[in-house]
Amino acid sequence: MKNIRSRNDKPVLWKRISIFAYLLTLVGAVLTISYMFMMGESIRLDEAQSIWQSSHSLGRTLEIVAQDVHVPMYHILLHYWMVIFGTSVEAARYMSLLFFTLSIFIVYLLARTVLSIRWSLVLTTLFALSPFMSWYANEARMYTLLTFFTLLSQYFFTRILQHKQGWGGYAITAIIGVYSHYFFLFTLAAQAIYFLFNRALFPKGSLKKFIAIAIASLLSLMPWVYYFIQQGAAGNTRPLLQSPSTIDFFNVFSQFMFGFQTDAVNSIILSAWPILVIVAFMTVRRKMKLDAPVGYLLFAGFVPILLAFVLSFVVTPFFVSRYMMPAVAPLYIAAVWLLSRYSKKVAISALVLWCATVGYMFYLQMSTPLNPVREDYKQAANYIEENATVNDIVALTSPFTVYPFEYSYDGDSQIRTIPFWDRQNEGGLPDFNQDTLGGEVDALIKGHDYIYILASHDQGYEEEVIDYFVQRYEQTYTKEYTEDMTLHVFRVGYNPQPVIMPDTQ
Amino acid sequence: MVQNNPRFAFLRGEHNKKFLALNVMFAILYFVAITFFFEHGNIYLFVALIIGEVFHIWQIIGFSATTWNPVQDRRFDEKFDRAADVFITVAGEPVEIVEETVRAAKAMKYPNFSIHILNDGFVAKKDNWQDIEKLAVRMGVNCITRRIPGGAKAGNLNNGLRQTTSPYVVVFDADHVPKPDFLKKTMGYFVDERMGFVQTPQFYKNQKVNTVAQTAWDQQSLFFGPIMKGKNRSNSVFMCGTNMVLSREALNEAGGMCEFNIAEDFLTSLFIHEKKWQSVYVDEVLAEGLAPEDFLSYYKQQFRWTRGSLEVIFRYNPLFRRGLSWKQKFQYLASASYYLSGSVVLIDALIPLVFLYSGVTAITTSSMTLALIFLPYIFLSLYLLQKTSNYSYTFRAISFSISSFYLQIHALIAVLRNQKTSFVVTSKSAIQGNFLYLAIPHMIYIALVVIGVALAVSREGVSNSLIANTAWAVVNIVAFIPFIMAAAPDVKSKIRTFKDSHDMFLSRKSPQKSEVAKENV
Repeated sequence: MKNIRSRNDKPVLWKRISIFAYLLTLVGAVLTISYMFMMGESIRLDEAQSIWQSSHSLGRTLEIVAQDVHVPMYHILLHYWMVIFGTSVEAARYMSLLFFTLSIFIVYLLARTVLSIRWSLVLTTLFALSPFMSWYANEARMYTLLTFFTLLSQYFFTRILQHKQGWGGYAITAIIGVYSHYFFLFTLAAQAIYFLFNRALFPKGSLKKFIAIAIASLLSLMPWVYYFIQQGAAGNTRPLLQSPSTIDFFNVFSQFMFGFQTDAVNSIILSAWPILVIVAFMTVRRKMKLDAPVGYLLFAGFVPILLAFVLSFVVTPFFVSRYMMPAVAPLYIAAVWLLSRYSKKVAISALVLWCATVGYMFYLQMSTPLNPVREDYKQAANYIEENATVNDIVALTSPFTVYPFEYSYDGDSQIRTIPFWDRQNEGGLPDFNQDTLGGEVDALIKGHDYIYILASHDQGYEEEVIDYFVQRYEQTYTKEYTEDMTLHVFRVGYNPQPVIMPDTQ
Repeated sequence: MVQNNPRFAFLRGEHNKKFLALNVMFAILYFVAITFFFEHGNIYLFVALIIGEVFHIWQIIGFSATTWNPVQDRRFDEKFDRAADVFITVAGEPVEIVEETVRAAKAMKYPNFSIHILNDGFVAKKDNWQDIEKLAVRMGVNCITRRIPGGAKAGNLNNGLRQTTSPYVVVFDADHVPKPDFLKKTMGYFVDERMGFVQTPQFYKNQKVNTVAQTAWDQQSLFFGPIMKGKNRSNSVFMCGTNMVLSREALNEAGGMCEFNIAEDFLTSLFIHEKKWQSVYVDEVLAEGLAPEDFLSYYKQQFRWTRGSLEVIFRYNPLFRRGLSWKQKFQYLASASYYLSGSVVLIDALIPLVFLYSGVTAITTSSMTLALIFLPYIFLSLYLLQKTSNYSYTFRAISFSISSFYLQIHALIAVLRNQKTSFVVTSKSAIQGNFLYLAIPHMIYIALVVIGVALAVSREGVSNSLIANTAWAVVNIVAFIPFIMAAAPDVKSKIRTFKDSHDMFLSRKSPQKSEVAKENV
């Protein structure tokens, strides 16, 4: 490719139009992939939560979100979005897709700070068609909103570093971006650390400006923090996550590159980690100096993840790959920058290998039911609809999974949870109590023939619940729909007119 | 003195103490982790792995200590003008190469020096020894043709010393062409009466000729950049055989140039330092020479350097030499012990191979902790090499260093068995040929890996251990590939040459071109 290393070329008008047209084509490809492969996915727990939380009045929505672990920008936007476009999961997902498509343009601009036009377009393509990004671009959650603001922040930060300008954009992005996701603060923290170690690279007076922007951002967040604390500081709704392991740490990078894969495939990917030594060798090249913007992007790609990993041990576990999404674009840009330093032959060979591998992984991600982030409530709900009768009962464990199930279920059976959750009268989630399980179950199954237990998002007591039933009742059916989602059917009553069950699996 | 020429970028490396310290810390952390926090596998493999890691830590500490603070605070007097004898050592090099060097030597700006060609062509039985004498006459310089053999280049220099008298001696190899200001920028250091010698970089001007020459230079850039600059602080700069100025008094005190070691310059430096003389490295390219242009010449040159340095460890171990400071002992040992790395490379290459054939490992781990420690360590180490050499170092240089394991082990065995190795002057013109036989061990390794993978798959299927060990073996193979390719015959240029000659043949046959030719006649 021509001008591999030239990033100072300023395109003439026709070139700009061509670039814009290409980016629009990319957006078209993203929308096509979304329509053909992603929109049909079953609603997921978190999506159900987003829709439910945003479906109330604005005041009530803020109250609910404040009792949760998120900041409200996404929910406010979704609230009004659903007013216009409806409350279907597809409609909610389209808002995430919107922010993702906008991010595509910002990623291009960010890439242009260190790459030539052609390489920036290559990078943008890789980002837009990344299996990891595509998954969250089609999820009714705040992650593409987070990505959008993070990319803007990274772009303006890089402009300050390179051209001593962009302070206004950086400030506005920082002040508003803190409301997109708490993890946006990690992006700002990484920028602060980078600045402190590289002050000489920044224009004079930068320290004062950064301090002012930091204060403004924190002040802008203060009203929400106050309200959040007043609502209980999410005491009952924090997700139960375990402290991350080193495997989790590398899984983040593996997922960034290859999307979500089964344990077996993931195991192979992680075991091949010594291959990264070859990548290290590739960095040893004459005149391949790491200039400041590239150095920053590498920093932005690793430091937030490291910070989150450490804090997950020291403070509270919250290390999940979707929270680290702001690191995807910088890491991709750094990788493409490395490739761009090589000859056309080497670079194109590596790119072909990259695209072929990732393309195959994308296919695996979409086709395997054991995709670890897939939650097929739709299929499970369809099955129960077809087979359960009014004499049967459906029980969801963990209780909060009742939301995505109810979204997809249109059958005749009653729906309950284990442990029992009176959503109308009680506030937070019920705790599990082994001692009261027997009594709860007796009350649950009374008068019913079969119980359909859909177990997912194990909160640490799923095995006990299922074992309880296995020891006392006849299990007539079981099916694993996706990883961590299994349907168990038990006969709990004896109807003179037996219902014909499908084959036991 | 900072030269801004981009060709000399290797002299302007950055020395970041924080990164150096961090690198040492990572190395120690990695060592502690694999020694104490992972389940040990086979005890012999484990011990071998630990020995290798101890060596790596030693090398990293050596590099970090050397490059920590490259200050050069020797006194210098611009007006220094004492007499110097300029020696140009010749042993069969082409006359035109010698002529260029002599011409440049004559052009040096300094008030008081004389030029002597030290002609070893006669004792080395070279055909052109008389042409060198004629050249000297033609150019009006002295020629000292040695008649009594012995001591190779060192013997030649000692012969020259016996027949000259100036208090200072300048040495250039036949192909190292000095710049006009060479003496002006080096002699002034002898204002310090205890200055033993002044060394300047050995820069290769033909580095772009081919891959071998370029890689030979890339390796040198690290040595003549941050490493030699760093040795100034501990007064442990050593002579490199050319582009240097010596005090005759210092040389005499050390017994002259050492004739019984193949790396005579290295050992002579040690003897001079023992007598408490000073040395300095001038980080400015003041002469330009020729890199080996073919793989065989490169290989022989590396073998000679390895052999000479290893002999210093086993026969003149700096640790036990009197007269050297502890910093000097450390530096000499660090430099010489680099050539033991071949054994460690072999150990590291064999560990995954042993697993493939037997299922036995050195350590066992079910987490990614090893990766979490090792990857930052390796990336930082390589980044430091880049930073300190101002991004002059290359992967090919690393490849050649790693792939030299066989010749280093060969040299080690030769030293331990006290086998004689003759001094062979590095050829100044490319020797054509197929030198793949020098890469046979590497090719055998690749074949063994392929077979090993097949065996391992049949033994245990595609397990995590298999993937990891195969990945390590692939890393070694990737490191060997540039070396193997350099040893292989230059097929591309042969095809090009064939095509060019074929095109020429066709163009003679073409009627149109024949008619044009007729018209021209």
